[in-house]
Amino acid sequence: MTIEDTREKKLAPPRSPAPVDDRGEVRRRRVGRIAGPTATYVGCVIVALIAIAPFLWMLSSSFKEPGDVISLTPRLLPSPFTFENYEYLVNNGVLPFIRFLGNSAYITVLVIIGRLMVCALGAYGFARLQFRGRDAAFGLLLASLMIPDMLMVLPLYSAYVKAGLIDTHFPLIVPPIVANTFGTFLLRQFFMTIPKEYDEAALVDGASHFRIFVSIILPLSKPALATLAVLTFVNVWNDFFGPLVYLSDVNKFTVPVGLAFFQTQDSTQYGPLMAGATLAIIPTVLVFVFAQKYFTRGISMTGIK
Amino acid sequence: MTAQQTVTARRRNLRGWMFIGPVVTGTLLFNVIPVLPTLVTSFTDWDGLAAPKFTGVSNYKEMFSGQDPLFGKSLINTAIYTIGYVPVGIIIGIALALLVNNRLRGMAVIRALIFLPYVTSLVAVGVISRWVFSDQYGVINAVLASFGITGPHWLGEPSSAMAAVIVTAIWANMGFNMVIVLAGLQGVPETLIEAATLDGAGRFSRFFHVTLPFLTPTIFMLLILQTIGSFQVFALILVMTGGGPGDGTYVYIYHLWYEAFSLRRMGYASALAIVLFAVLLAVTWIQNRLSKRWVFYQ
Repeated sequence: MTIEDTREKKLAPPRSPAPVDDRGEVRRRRVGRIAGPTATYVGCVIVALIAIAPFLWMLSSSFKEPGDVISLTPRLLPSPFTFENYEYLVNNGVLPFIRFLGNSAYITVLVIIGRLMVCALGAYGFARLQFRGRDAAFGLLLASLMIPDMLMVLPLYSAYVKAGLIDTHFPLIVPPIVANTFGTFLLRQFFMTIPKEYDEAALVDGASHFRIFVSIILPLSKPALATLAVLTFVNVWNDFFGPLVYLSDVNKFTVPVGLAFFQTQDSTQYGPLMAGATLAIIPTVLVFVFAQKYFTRGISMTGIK
Repeated sequence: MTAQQTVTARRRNLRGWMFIGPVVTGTLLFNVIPVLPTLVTSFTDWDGLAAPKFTGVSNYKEMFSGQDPLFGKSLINTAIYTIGYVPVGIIIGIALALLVNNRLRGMAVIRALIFLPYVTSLVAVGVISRWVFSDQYGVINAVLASFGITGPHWLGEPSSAMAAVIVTAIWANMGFNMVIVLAGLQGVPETLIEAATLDGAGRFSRFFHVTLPFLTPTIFMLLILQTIGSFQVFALILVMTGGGPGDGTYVYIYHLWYEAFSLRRMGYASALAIVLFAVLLAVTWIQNRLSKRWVFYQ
């Protein structure tokens, strides 16, 4: 079947309702109802084990005594078991870890809010509007992705020095909001899968494009918006390079760059490092768990289809 | 064109730019304008400190006349990494997304676990991967040994080291690809899948003829982004192999970094960056042209 066939099928009149089980899913016809879930579970468990192994190692290391963390015969379970690394992390008198968490949290929240707004606006323009310069502008955004990051650091650094913005959070907040090509691209690709018939119907009813954007496109795009929010959280929360280059005041540090100091200050302190990495991962997992219901909710594409 | 039409066209252009204005201005201001001087620097012998001296095309000559063997070597290594990582990474991302795109009990936890490697700090990824691929104590060789196979010294041989890096990259990013494809899957109209099911289409038929066409914009985006990202791979190499053994995993950005910050040859590094940009532009242009054959937009 080709794409054209798919299109025809889309326009075909609805047939008699499919048998639906209590969760609202169409019953699988060919695959047995028991074999399906079991195979899925087996696959999931295997993949999850592969995925989780290093995290277990990190978690376990964070409860080990310093000498046990790096050894040629690693043990999965810490023995002796100790909270020493976590205590050191919180009160070491030099690196205020709680403060790092606060800095990271406020920067991350601001970037997520700002980026969703800027990227969604841009994505709507690129996906839905016809105007002069649109394709050239999109080409410019794509081209900017191809500039090696390494190359941007030097000129930006000297520009921030001149503007007095070094050792502030400006370079970590404003550019990630207004110059995010990835998010714009992601949302554009998603907006393009939303049927145009919705906009056209609204336009006929006299709605403005801004109105269509806010009341039709955004509500239908929750999976993509949630995805961008989670990925932004991960990127900003884990960003190491930016804070390392632009910050020097310890009180302004974010979590990753603060953690790195456990590596350089007096040789590598793997214990506190792993404890910090473990704490740092918790918010990300929470955000993911909270946001993921939007990934799988599905858009109710009723009406036209 | 009548005056009325001109006004309408102008208004339409203005409206379009009001939507894309912020992101375009931001990108220009922070990503494009700052690097424009690189074009100039690439024709000089700048060391990052002293005043640069104009040297014509000598930096480019050095690359293409074979005076810098690491240029070609690093470009080839980067291409191998990209070809090894990008397609497999995307296919695994699709497979995982399909695996977890259901409402079975416990799926939320499974999805979060698969996403974990992507959020684990790179420092930890580096340490764990060196342990997993260690020749004597590594998990992989232990498994091979149980089948009576003597595993290679993964990170000690150039070709197997590259394989180990690619496997680690696939592993570390599978959660990212899964999440992007999951979002794309939500755009596939359920009614269409139901209709195909009623017509007697099996699982594979439903996937290839209904789901996949709707996923092509997402796959295309992943292909573009991951290719661009792979050509710029650096941090993973730094924490895993340091470019070694020998020059086995010495990738392009590693070379750029080495020239810029170890040898302080900013002029030459700028020229390297310009060439990379040109390569990526060409690759993306080709991908974009080819996309018209297989990407399906509504």
